[in-house]
Amino acid sequence: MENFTTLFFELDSTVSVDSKILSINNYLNRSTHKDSIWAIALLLGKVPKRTATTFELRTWRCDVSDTPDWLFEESLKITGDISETIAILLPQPQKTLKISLSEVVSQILSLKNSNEQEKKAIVFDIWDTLNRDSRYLFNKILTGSLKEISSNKIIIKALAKHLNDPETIISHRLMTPWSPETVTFEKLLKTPDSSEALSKPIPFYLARSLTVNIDDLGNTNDWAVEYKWDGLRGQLIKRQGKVFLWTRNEELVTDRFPEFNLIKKSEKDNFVLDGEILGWKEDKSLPLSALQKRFKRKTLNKKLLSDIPVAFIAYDLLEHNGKDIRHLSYVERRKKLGILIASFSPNSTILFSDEIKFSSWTGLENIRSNARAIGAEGLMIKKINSAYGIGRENSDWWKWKSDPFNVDAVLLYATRDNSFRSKNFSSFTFAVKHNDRFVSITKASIGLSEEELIDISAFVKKNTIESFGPVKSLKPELVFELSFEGISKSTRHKSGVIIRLPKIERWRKDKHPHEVNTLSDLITMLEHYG
Amino acid sequence: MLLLFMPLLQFTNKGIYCEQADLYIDPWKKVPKALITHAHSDHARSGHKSYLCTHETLPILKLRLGKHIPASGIAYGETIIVNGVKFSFHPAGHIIGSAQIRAEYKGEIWVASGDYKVEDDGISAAYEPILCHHFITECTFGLPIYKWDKQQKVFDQINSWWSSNASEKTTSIIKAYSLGKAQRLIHNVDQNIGKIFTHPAVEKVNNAFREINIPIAKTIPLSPKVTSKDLEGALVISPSSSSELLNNAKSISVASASGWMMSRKRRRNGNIDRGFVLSDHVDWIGLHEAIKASGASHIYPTHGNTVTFSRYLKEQGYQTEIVKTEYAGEIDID
Ligand SMILES: [Zn+2]
Ligand SMILES: [Zn+2]
Repeated sequence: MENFTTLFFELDSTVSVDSKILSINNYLNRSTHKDSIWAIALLLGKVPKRTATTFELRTWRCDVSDTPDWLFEESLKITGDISETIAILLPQPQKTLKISLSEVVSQILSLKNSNEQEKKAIVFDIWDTLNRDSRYLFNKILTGSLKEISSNKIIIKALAKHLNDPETIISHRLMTPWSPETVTFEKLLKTPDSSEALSKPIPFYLARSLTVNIDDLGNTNDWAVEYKWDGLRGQLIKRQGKVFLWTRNEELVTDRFPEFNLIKKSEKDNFVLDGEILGWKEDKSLPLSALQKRFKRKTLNKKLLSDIPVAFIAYDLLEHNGKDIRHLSYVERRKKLGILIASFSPNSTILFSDEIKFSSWTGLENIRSNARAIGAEGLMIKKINSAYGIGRENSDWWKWKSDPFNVDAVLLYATRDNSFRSKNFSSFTFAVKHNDRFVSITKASIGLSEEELIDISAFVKKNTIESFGPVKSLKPELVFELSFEGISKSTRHKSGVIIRLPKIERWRKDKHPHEVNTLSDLITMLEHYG
Repeated sequence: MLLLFMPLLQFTNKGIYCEQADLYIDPWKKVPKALITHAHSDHARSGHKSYLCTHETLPILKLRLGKHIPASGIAYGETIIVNGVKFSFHPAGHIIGSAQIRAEYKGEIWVASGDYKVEDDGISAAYEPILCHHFITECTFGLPIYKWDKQQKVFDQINSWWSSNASEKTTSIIKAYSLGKAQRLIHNVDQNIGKIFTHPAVEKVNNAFREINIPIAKTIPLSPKVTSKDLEGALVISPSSSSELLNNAKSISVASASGWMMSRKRRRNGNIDRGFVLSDHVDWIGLHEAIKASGASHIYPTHGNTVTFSRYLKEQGYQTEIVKTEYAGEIDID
């Protein structure tokens, strides 16, 4: 148990992804498989159903600790955590034997069928064995209140390193629903299963941002253009009747999108599609923020599924009925893709990414400037004779993003991110006008030069109205031009809008605070493009 | 005629007052005569007409309040008699030079603890229990959740944090108060791990102690001349979290060493990478040991969780009276 406790507090005390991976790796190296499988489950927030309540623990505590309840209450005000308070207030453990994480958890599980007296006896016994920090975790697990400690991605990386396997394989193995109560470490993570090869994604071919002049691409007939959708790049695989959905970050997300599982039965072909996972409702794309909601929720309910349905906009076919066709030209692959998608049932959630007809580069510029209106964030320009390659270094595929949105906003708050790392302020909150007041719309931290940061910090020192720790509220005086990539509705923000990827374009020393944009300007943008 | 019996020490709006001797202990308003337990700013204010403190506190008092203040020193255990009241200073174990002040008059004994801790930290004169009838005790950490580990265990944690940072050329920074915690850290960390740099505020205190032959280990003051190479793998002890002198450090890990780090909430909200539970104040267990060892029946909690602590003591059968002071409470130096 102490090993796991050490791991927990190491993870708790760092924000660095590398250190976290290292800590998990060290833990795996020093622990038995029996403990490791539980550790992984707990890190991922797979906590067994609680077998005691915090109220019970609080009551039982009184039998072994002489702190009066009112004093317990006072202590709780400081820690804000019942499990922690109990862990500290219990007397020193008297038992010297060591107990492993898996033993602790199996004791916890065994309480399921015990009466109160038996439960109490076992809990006292464990309390009397564990040190303070381990007791804290024990209380948390026992009462089902341990939160997810580490992200999937970090655990996958650590396991891949530990087992010396590719991350995609680990991702696959962790993908199927599993419970540490029924599966062993070996079975879950060290046993290849036949579907592993089936799920294996093909490396994504990536486009470069258009840096050359559009005219320099030459003859328009050599190029095909599609919309660049504002969703998540994905790879939809159907092999031997099994379906897998990967994101660009090599995360297997099939279970987040039951929509695509339907194709298992209905379509007879096997394929690997490259495309975009997109919130899609009534033939229109939904903003990225909607799709992210689907990702964030632990469980998908009917309402969420019907509020935010998704589609897969396929733009390429990489493998067809077991045959790798990446060497074929764009045109040939797209032809096959078109036929394949046409063969799908009419209510299929897999759609074809249409080609945009254009006759001149100037004409294309107009189309690009309207891309936002249909929910796309720009255009993709692909050479018609190009094969599907690997990586990003190429001049076959270009992404040509729409110009960002722009607003003028006034600086309202400045934050020193970590006082030790910099003496200057580095994160800023901007506001637009609303009636006679300013309402903050976004935080931004990139885009200013070192000299500008120094000047702004000097301004902050002289014009702070109020301090909230590292955050200073300021006299609304400095105006900045901000650019951003997207805007959507938000109920969590006072302004009612949320801005995506804001960047500080320039300091508008020529502008007065009363000249900044208004909230209704933003609402108009939202109505047009949100 | 009704004879009003006045206690030897009273609690006034200027501080703890001894009417018989006409002097104050740690007063926060200007008074003619002040006895000072230690040089932390909530106990040693400026503007008194005369100061008396231990020999070890004296240089710090002068450093902070001015070279020419009318202050004199006294040895631990030495007695002075003022209008029949016997006063003596005894080790409080809080920081170097810190003292409890004992007052005796006609067989009645009072002890004002100032700030104290019962564990010997290796550099401050170790706390000595003093028998008395009336004990004025601090209770900064007067809640049962505050229980300190033995200092060696904490320093093992600090050393392993420092050496693992050092192996990655990261600079380890411990935020610590310049008087007290800083010297305790310097004295107890494993000096073989690397170089120790100090903020100028810490170095001033170090030098003041070195001048009176208190052995503070070698430290290097931070200055603009210190390069990023120098700081690789080093330990920095600094009170402030925003020093320009640290801009050179490439990769840093920031820790805090204080009793407040006991709570996970505090550790997580502190904008720090590590929180070590290391306090110069007495913990819950130590408070009870100290009160018991004093033999006092009247306890006057001050400085911290006074209400809670006093209620608890009453339940334990003590006579208590809360003393309202202007010593730093919740936000205390620790
Ligand atoms: Zn103090
Ligand atoms: Zn104090």
